Amino acid sequence: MAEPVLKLINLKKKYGKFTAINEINLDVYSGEIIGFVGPNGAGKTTVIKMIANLIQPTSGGILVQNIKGELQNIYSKSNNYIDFGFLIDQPYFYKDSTPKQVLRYLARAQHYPKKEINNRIDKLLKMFNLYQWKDEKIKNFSKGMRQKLGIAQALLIDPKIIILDEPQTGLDPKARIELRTLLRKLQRNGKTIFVASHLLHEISEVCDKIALINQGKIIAFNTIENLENNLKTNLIECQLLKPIKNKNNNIIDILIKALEPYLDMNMISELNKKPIYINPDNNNLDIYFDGSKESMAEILDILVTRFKPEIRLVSFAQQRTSQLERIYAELLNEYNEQKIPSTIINKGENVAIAR
Amino acid sequence: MRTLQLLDKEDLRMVLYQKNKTYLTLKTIAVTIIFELKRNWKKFIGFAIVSFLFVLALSILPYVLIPEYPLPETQNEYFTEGLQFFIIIIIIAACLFFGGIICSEYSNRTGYIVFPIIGKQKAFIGKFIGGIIYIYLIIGIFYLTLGIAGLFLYGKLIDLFFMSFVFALICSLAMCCFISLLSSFLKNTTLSIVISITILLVGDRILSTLMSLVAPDFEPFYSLNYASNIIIYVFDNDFLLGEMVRFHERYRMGFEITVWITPSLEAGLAIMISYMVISLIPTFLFLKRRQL
Repeated sequence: MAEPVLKLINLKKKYGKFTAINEINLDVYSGEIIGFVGPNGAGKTTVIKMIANLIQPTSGGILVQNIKGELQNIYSKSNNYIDFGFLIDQPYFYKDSTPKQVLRYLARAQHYPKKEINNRIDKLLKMFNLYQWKDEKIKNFSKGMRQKLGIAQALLIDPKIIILDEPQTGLDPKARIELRTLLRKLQRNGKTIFVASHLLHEISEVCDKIALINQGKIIAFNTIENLENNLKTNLIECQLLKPIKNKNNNIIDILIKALEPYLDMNMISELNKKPIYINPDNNNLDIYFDGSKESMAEILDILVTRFKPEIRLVSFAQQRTSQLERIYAELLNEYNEQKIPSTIINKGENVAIAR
Repeated sequence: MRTLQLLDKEDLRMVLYQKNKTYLTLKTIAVTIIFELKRNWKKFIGFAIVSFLFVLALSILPYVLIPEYPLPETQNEYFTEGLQFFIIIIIIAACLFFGGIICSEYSNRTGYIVFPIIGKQKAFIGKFIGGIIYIYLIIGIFYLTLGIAGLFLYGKLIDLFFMSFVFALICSLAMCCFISLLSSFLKNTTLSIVISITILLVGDRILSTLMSLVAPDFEPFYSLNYASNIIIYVFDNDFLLGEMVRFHERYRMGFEITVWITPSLEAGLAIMISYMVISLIPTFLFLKRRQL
């Protein structure tokens, strides 16, 4: 098996008595996009700051591949490890400087070939639609523009490892889509990308693996498919033509009885204790089923044939995002209640979640 | 396979980095200096104009425009008068250039971009040298204007003028080191500037006055302002000979106080160098420990 390009070993960070990061182990392999997901205050930025050498861990270590292909401690003095690009927190630049001045300074400070600097800066600024503002002072920039400039500086010297902390913050929907496309393109070019976010759905589409972090610990680390399969609960979202008249939960009970063989009856949801419920936000019908495609087909068939006057479907779709969000919520819930067996806590290997 | 990988552009750059590590570290610092100079040039132009106008208004125009205004008999006296308020300009300039040298990277959060790339120490050294270049240029403009005026009014320049200039450079360096120390642990630039100006312009003098009451015989070796007096008193003919009376006693409100005028040349330089060393060591320690 190939050596990882970045390896976190028993990483721990304490602030006084408070443990911000507790024994984190993580292997990141070349060409992977790893999503680092957790609620606010889970410890994502702390881990990234340690990788960026802005703070030092209390114990444990971070190994990074060097130019010889060997793993090397990131805190060692001979820093001949492969290049990193960082976007940490919300980027702030020298306000009286222009994007061109700042990027030029950062490129030269990182010894990027002098002749290529201007072309590289122009290319990045065009990529992020900032080219027309290249000579404007950054103090006049919006939050989204600063964020784009922050991502541009992370890619400035074409680094092999790109570490992005909440890159979608402040970006408009179009820019978010473009960012996802960019991440995929960078991956195709062999870059290793580590993206931290508290918005699981924002990064789940582009990540090969997701590490869920809570209270300074990684509670799951695996591919999205494996995370879903191991939890074995899946959600179908049914958009209805008109809201269901649901007096005393009667229709829901009838639906559960009719669809019982195909439902996930063991599900534990914070939202509802029943596997079918009407989403109060959009009046959609949410059905938690066993995950098989046959069951999905049967459910559709039953809804269309047996519940036609009450239920008229506009769309019927398995929501990947919703599932992930639910997995995420459930994992956090189970972790907080200490239901997750210690065996699924990652020990540096890609361990699947088992229930 | 590995050999092929080593041939790509980035790896070649890293190999180059290993071979020329010292050169590239110096290059990073040089790039930071240039960036710092570009960032602060407007501030510099402002102070350069103030320096020039200061000399023009106090040391040139009165003698040229007002015939009754007596020109000092000697060049020594002329320069002593001309440099009376010089230290105030230097204190304000040093505070504005160095007040935010470290804390601004934390309070404005620009350190998140700069520190992972350049490193805290290299960024500080680059910014420090960039700042000191401007301070030296401001001092240079002040002395150049005063020197040209001295040359014009007296026909030649005395050697002591150049000695005073060197002392001014050393003193400003000590001041910048001290302000950097304050910036290394204070929260933001404004606070750092206000505290630096308060200490150097007001606090230092208040402490000296109190000390002259409490311990009149104790020479204020702790005071940078006191040390900076050698910039002016070097023009006293007895100063370099070590024969100058460096204090005088006065009675104020029934108290006998000792007013210290200037340290000896050796003591003045020792105070300034001590300020540099004592300030810079904890500055680097605070910088290393301070977290974003």
